[in-house]
Amino acid sequence: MPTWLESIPSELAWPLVCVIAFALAEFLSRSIRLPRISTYALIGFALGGAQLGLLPERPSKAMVLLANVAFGLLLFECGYRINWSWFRRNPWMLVISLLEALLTFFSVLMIAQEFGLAPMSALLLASLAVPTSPATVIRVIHETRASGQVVERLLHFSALNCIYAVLLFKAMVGWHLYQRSGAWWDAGVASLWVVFGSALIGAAFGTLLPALLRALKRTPRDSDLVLILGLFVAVGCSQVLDLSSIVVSLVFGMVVRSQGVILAARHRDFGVMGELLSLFLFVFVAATLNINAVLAGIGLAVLIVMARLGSTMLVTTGLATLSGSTYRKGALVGLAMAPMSAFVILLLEQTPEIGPKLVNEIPALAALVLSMEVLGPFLTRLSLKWAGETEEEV
Amino acid sequence: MPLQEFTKSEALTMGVELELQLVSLSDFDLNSASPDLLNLLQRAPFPGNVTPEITSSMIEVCTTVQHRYEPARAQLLAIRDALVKGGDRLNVGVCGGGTHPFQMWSEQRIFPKPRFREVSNLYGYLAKQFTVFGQHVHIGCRNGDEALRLLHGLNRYVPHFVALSASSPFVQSTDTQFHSARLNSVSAFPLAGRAPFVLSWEEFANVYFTKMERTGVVKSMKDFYWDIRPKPEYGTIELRVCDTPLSVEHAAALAAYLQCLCAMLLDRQPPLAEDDYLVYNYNRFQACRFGLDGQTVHPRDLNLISIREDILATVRELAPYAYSLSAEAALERIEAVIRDGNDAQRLRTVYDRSGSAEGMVQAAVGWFRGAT
Repeated sequence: MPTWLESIPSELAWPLVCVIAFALAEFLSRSIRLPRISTYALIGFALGGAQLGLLPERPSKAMVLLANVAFGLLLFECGYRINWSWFRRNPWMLVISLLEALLTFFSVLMIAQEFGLAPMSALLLASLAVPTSPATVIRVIHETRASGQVVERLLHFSALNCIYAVLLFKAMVGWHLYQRSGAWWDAGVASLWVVFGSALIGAAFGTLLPALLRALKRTPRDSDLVLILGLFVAVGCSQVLDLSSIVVSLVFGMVVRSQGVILAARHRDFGVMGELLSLFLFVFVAATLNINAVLAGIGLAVLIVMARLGSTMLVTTGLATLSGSTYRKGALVGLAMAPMSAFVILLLEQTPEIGPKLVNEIPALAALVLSMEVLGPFLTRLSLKWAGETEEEV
Repeated sequence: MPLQEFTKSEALTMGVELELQLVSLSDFDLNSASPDLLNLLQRAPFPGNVTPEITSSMIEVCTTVQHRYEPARAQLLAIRDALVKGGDRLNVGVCGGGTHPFQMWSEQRIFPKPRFREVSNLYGYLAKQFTVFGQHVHIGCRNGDEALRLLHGLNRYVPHFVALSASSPFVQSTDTQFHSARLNSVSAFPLAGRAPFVLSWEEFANVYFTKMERTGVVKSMKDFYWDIRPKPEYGTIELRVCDTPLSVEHAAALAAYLQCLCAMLLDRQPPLAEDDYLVYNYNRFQACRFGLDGQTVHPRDLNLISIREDILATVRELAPYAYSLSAEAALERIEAVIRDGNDAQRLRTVYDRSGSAEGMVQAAVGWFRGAT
């Protein structure tokens, strides 16, 4: 680390990084139209612990909690915007989603095995390649104020494949624990507990909070604060109990919606609070990466990016007309589903059995995360623009 | 270019146009879904007609030329079913209502096409505020003179249609206290209002229109945003004051009510005078603001009468015409609205219960599908 950077007090590190990220993102967004979150990631990576080192190498628990809350807000919104009856009225949506996830999983698994990864690493990598990061997707949708069929499908597919990814990943972790200890019961229970315990907490908050809102007679306009606080507590609980805040937040959002609490459209992204937390989140995620790991895995990462994109686009395009859309829009949905980064890092943070270090240990993962964190928003925005669903000229 | 000849139509035929909202079933906000929905609808034959609108969160449907209430209603129901079926595959809700209750006009963007920019530069915020949804009803006329006589004869009934169809109580998440806030957006345009009091087509086309055209202010009849305007190319007059109702059945009943009124006017040939318009704007305002509870001044005897009472009296008067046009069921529906309240009142009830503007859209989507 350069000496002048060392002289900055650590209390100032995060505020300073956030200000730099904000200012540069505004500048680059106006001059070369780079999505803001791409810039946040670049800054986070450059100033991260393993690079210039302004930020600490291992984030404190408080910072992890904050990142989980930031991610939780975006997942909450994603869960909130899921209309389950769509899958009933148009079952092709579910078929596309399942096929797309399966094809991605197996194609990445094959490539990883070709590259000689250990079976467990290959399985973990394949399950981490399944999800589309709702955080990136939602931020891009907000930034471009997009609306239309590609947006709708993107949100629904991304919520579903996040659920698959958590299930797959926890199953792999369970398998991993079983291999290490031989206690299949413990391993199974641990994985099931994470998934169902988290869902239970999410559902509990999703039921209790609307009841509280009704009791307090708060209108939807000012229910934001209550919901954010609720999410804060829910995510805190999940961290204490070693549960998945991803599942908690997603289920929380879904259940709130089913309770008939309706978030006013302009409050859905939780306003300035939501924006600030997203900025922090994308900086945080990239700051966990190590440049050596990124460089080491870049070849495999490129292949995986292509395999993911290819598998997804193949399915979303091939079944597009059957599901009521067009081939063109189907392909654009697939392209828009590229982002995966934030999800992976936070999923790993929430899996102490395996350790968050995994990201720098499994070859390609760090490179995959970084490339998708910078490139993902760009691809999503491009796709929404090509679909004619953005309200700005990109 | 002089105004075209008035096309001859069969008297009292009707056609219904509905501007409908396309909303996301996920968040109930307006959704730019018309290209996707139109694409899907093209794959199967569509009853009636469907066309895109300037904003992609709006779609316009219209019936073919209809003679009677029942077939018109049946076609509107078939149109409705086709739209709902298509929408379900795309997570798009279709609904009526004169305004979307919580879309922010300030956040509406004018698409960067030169024509829209021009409109936006001319009208400023009015252009953005014009995301409103109306029902238009056409009535066929045998000639231009008949069209103008009907048009002016209908003036005193305009508040009926405003009050019966009113479904736009909310704008930008706020209760406007109006039953039809939509008409306030329409009224702001410089060529809105009523047609000039001219009773011969010859004079209308060759004197009034020619003069207006010479001013450079108008190029075609389309530039007039009048409450009722003649449509020479179709051979009709077009009533444009209705908000799009929350159900197509209600839209069909309103069309049939207009058809019966026109039958009565053609039959009775009441005397017409420009002074009938002295109370026009006041009465129209009362209907917009208070709906069926509005108080209007009768243009002839100058008595104050509630719109509700006036409609009930008119419905009784129309009975023989409804009989000959097989529209009794339509008039029963109109009476039911008088009894149960108009769509604006229904929407307010939902707001009171759910506490949110989104809840109103959710209910409107359900009502459009046929929920009661």
